[in-house]
Amino acid sequence: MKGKVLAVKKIISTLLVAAFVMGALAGPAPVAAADPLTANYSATPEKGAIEFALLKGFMWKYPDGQFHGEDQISQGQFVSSLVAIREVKEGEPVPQLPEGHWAKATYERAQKAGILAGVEINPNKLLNKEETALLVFNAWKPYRGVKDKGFTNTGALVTWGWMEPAPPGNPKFREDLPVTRAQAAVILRKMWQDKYQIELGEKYALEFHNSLKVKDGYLTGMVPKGDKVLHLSVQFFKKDSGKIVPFSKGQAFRVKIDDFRAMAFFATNDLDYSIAAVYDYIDLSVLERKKNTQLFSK
Amino acid sequence: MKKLRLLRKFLHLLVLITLFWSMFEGYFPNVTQALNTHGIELATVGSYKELIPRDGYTKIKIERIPGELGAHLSEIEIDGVKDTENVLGFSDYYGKTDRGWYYVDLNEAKYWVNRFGGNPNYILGGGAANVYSSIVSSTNETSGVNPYNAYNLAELATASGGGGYEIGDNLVPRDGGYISVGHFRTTQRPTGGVKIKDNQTKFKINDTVKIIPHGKDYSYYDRGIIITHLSVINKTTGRGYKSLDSNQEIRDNSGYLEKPSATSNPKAFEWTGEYTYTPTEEGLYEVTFIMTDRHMRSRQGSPTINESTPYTVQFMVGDEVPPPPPDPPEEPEPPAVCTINQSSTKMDFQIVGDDVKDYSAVPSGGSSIMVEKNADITLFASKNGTFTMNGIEMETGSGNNRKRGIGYFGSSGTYRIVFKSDDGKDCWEKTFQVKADSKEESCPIITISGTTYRNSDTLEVLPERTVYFQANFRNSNGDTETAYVLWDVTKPDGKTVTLPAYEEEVGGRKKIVEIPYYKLELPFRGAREVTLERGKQYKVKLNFQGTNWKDRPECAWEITLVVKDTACTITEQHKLKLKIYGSPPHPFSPGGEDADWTVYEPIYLKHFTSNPDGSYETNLSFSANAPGTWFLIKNNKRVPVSKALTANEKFDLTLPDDFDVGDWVTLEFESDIGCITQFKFEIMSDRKCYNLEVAMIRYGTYDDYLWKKEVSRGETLHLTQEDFDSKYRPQFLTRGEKTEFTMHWLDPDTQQWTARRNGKWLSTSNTYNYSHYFQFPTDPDSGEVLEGLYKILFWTDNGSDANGPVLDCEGSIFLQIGASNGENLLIVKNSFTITPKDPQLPGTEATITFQVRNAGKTMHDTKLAVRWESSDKETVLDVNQFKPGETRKITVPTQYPQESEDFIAHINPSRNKPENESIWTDNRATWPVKVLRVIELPDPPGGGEDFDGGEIGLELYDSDGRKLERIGLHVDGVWEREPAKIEVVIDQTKINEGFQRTQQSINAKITEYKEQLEQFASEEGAKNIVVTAQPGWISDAKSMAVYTPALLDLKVSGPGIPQQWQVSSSSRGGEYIYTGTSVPTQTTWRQTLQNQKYLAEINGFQIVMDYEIVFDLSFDRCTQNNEDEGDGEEICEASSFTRSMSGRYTITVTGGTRTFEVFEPNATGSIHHTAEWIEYHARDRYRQSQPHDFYAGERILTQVELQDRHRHPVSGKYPVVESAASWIYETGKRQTLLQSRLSLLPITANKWRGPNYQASKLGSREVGVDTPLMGDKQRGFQKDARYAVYFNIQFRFGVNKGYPYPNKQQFSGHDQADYRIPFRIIANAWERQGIRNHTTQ
Repeated sequence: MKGKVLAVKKIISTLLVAAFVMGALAGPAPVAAADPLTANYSATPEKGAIEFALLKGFMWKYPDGQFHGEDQISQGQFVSSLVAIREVKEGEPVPQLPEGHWAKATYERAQKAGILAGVEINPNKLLNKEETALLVFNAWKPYRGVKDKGFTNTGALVTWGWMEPAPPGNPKFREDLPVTRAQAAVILRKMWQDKYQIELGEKYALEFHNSLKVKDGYLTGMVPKGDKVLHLSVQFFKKDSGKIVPFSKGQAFRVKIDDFRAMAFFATNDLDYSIAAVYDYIDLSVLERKKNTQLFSK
Repeated sequence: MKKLRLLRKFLHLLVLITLFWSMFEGYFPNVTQALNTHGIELATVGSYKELIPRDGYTKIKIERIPGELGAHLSEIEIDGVKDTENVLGFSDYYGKTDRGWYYVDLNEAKYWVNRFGGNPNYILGGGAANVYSSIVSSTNETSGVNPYNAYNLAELATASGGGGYEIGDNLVPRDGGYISVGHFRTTQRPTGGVKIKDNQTKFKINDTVKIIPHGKDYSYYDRGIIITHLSVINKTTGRGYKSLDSNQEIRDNSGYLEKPSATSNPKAFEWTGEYTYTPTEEGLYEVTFIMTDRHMRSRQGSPTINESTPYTVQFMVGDEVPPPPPDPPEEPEPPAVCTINQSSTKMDFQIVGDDVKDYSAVPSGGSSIMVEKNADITLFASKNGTFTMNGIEMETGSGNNRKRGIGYFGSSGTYRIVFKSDDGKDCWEKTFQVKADSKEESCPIITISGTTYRNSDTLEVLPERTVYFQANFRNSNGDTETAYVLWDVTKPDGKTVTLPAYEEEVGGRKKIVEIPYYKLELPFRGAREVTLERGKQYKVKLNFQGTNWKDRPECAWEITLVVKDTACTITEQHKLKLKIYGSPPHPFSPGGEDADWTVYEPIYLKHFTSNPDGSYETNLSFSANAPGTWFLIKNNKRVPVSKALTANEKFDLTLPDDFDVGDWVTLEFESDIGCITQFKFEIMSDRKCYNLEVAMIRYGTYDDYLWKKEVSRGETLHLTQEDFDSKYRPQFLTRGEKTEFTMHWLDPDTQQWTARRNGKWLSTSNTYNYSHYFQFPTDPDSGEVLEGLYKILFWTDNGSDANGPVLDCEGSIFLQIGASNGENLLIVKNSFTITPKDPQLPGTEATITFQVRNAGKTMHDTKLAVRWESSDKETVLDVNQFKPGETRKITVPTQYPQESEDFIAHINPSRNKPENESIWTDNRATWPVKVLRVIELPDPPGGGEDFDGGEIGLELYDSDGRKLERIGLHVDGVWEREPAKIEVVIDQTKINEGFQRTQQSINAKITEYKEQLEQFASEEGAKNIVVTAQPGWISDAKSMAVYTPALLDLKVSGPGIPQQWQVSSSSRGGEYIYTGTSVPTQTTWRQTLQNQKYLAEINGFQIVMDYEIVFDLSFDRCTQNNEDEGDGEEICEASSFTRSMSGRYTITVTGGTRTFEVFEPNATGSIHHTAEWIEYHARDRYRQSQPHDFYAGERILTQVELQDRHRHPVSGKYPVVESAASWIYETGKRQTLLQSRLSLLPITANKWRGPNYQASKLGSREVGVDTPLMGDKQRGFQKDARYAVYFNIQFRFGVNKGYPYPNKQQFSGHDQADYRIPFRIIANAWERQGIRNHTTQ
């Protein structure tokens, strides 16, 4: 052929640099509308975490227009951020706060979302690491379950990698250290990203699920094409050998049901390899799925 | 791999004391544990350092570590030496990140802690060391992996006093990919001591004694020591005990940190303390100091890592010398342990491959020695010890000579041989590397006009044709290179010329030079001209002058070139002309057009018709102006495609199914007289080409159309006079490219396209443009457009290349004015729809609709056939009452086919309703329908086989080297107590055959599956197909071999002493000496003494070769971009798959058994009278004397004899008698002890008698066993009493038979009658007159 062959190859950039890199914290928040969603996904969440928090609207500046990242974060501020990330709409009564309290609406929504379980309500309280970590685990129970029982909230969150260990010279899991607003922004950004990938993973898992059809002893389906953030794949486990027959994103398949013991769908973050969604299909002929996305404690 | 997470542990205060250790003693034995993969499908590290096959291995998570991981086999180096055990490495799934860990399960952890020199009880005994396990499981539940607890290897190393480090990314190339190698360092255990200040040994009561303990720790991390115990006691009185310190942790707080690396050695942390003690009474005092490092490692010189031997010091208090104390126990010197890196041991060895090489006094360590593959090695140490090769004990020398080590190298790989002497003082280590096969350059490979010809081939060529030779060869890397050679051509007259040769001017004189070149063309013009004359023979030979092939006779190459004797002359050749015929949609004249070499109108695949068998009707015909045959040339093959034709006879060209868009079709015509000419054309695709529009536009306007119709290439537009209007003029428009055009009319008489009608030129363009006006010729009277078939041939300006003008989207459209000659039913091509819209999964229910039109003048009842291209059955629908001018919508319910293909509709397929159709191409339409590609990759063949590796041979030898015979009923054997040599023979021939067959079988599977994958991809219509296998080839199955068990048990059981040896299953066997033949099983005359025989047995083994081959298939799936962006380009999307093939081959070698006997040596004793006494007995008054009746005082001669029955039943040899004796031990008269003992001497081979002496007057006489006292009248033998002579015989190997003097109870031997001969005393010799007793002779 004399025609020019244009090979369109998938390019995954391992570093999708956030589209906005601002030096100072002053100045207006950048405009988000033009940014594709995936561009906000950074494999290095520490970078630009504050800008990200402002952009996504889960943290706010002080009335003086400054962020004051060095200040210790208050319970009210952090709970507001969690409510924003969780996108909680409804509330449940919080009698501890008087009517008209500035934080009442936020706390009512947090209450509904289970974020306040075991938390002494005091919006002005400045948070230490243990208190912060407890709120994180409360807020994240619907996504990643409960924390590992053998650890304090701090220990579990540090081990999971969402909280920095104590500075050298301290016990690694020291609980009473203050959490600054900048440190909170880093944690919140990781949470935002985790939620984003989990929701994306769920979406693709459902898309995959809906593509499955059983006919004449064969299972057909298609692994969704996905996007640049998630790698989607399906593994079939052979009956006799336990060997794996894989299919990855964009591939349609047709397999003989009798040959396989089970199948599983995986959505894995291509940037940091965190697990966005895992579903097991134990009986290929009935296509029931069981969620097995990684939890904090397993 | 990846950063090792080195978590430094913080030791909490340790409360364990030495006493505790004993409770754990032996709790964690030093276990060697084979790698357990826990059901995980492992990944390998591919050539881009990524885990492969992507998605084809188990997705793993480790508790508390977020993210998806994959496991891969990894190696571990400890202190620079590769360990024999592997571990699992875990890295980010598919990623090339720096995250990765080595995790080991509990069993493996015990092994590794031991290897790291750590204290397993402390580290794995329940969290004291802050080392915790994590659960490793698969991300999903259904993978078949059972979750298990695992330890981070780096943490184990740190807790053992050592540490891990990286070399680069820890990845080392292996088998086309990489393998992760973890690096760890260990440190020595702590040292210490205790002394009294100034080494003072004597004190007075109430003096202050200053006690100074000290300790050193060498660990990398968590440095410091623990004082387990420090106390004083008065040993003399047992009083005065004082604990000075206990369970005290002394940390290194200096901040000193030496990072582990290949060369680092942390300096010792040193601690010295001072304690005081005031003795209050006299006595000998002892100070006890027990310490460990902070990793609970006992001090050097301790018997175990758990139990730290105390350091002690003593001092004396008082003047009185107390009772002498026991000597203070000497501090046991730690055994002189030889360490490999400080060894001064040297070694001699010999390596026998194709060459024999002797090495002497080779020092330990250093660079590795290259050896030939499959070579043998014998090492010679100066003292007994153990040789190991890659951790497996090597064979010893014959007779269990432990100064020798014998081993064998495989065909590849690295072998580490270690020697350790039994006394621990010598050690030596060396690495040997098997040399890779050095490949030789191949001989030149010659291709002639694209086909390879071998030596002595004959080649027929046509005259007037150029013959192209080319020489290539494969270099030592296997790559193809051109070979620069000279060519000797022998002409028909016998003269040989060397080519290529050129004239050159050297120093003003012309000279012919020969220049080696990889190509040669015949005929050769120039200085040495070679023409190829018809009917003659030429020889062409490679001339290797000046090349390396000169000395390689196997590279000789010579062929015969026969020039065909044909009658084709150049004139005839020039006369030869070809014609091409076509009709719409092809642009060629139905009456034929001259075709010289090629044509300049594009030939589109779309205008071919596919037959159900996949071949194509090109709808093109060809003819030549001479009788002859047409051939199709493809892949250097020339296949006839026509029968023998007469001059100008047409043939219709059908192409086989393997032609496709982009292929060049080369047709060759060979006339009967041997003239040859070719015609070539490219099959083109118009899929990316825009459609054209034909319109009728009002004069003077830009967008006022009477009508506008889209027309594709080759399509015929049917127009009637009603379609024309005098205010409008015809226009045709192109999108995307500017074109020029010419218009032609088909002259019905000549069936030729002509650019003129009625003498007037038809429209042409004058410049490239997007739209053109054109005109039809009109009737000058009526003004009506002249009816007929017109063609508009248009082209773009894309220049030319070597093959002619570049035809991109050129083409023709046809315009039929007025009725054609007959009726016409047609399919409206652009009316096609499929719902749901393509692409869809195969089998999806769908509805297809399209339109058919009756463009004729009559109503018809006709048929419509529809089918998918792959289907050989069509569905025929009735189209009844089809009115002229009617357009009818057809709806076809169907399913999406299995793969993308065309849907075909054909109206009036039988051409019988009506019969007089003329333009049949519009009655048939094909529409491409895309189907989502469903992947059903073929499964890899995989699997394995079990090959017979034969049986282990057991041969037995006696101590004289006689091989015991394998005989049926009666079994061969050795003498009692004789050592038997057992030779174990593991037949390598059968095993090697198994390796060979395994290798062949796996390689066949690799080839087979690669072909299947390629086939799969090419059936998918893919491009740039690349299939790789990793490893791509098994060059030596032996390198994968795991011998199970590694050590075989050779046992000998039986009534004697059982013995057992271990034989390496990877060895060729060896020789072993069995010395337990203490209990005989048979007499030499085969009388059974023991029912149980001796049994030598060795267990069988299996050689297991597990393989895993990872196949990567990648290709580009290309589709035409039909979207409206209009660039018309092909869009290719890269697609890739990975499949892994695994299986297991085994070679089973069965064990062997061998029974053997142990024969009891025996002999017979007897007693005799002297010749004189025989006479006396015969004639005296005791005529009735019986045999064995003796007179007291008569000489008793004794004899031992080996009889025939005493021979070895197989070898026939007599047992070796080392000594024989006879004796008497009786009580005579008056309770007199009568005793004598006589050693017998051999007198013949099988007889032993008493010694001779010279008696005066009587000459030589034999000594008897009797003594004079026995003949004494008062005290000697008593008349009528019974006595006995006893025999004692000593055979070889320390076997005694008979009765040992003077014990009559202790008998050994088969029959006591052989060793105890009773006799009766009938009288005293003195009673007999005239007879002298033996004392008087």
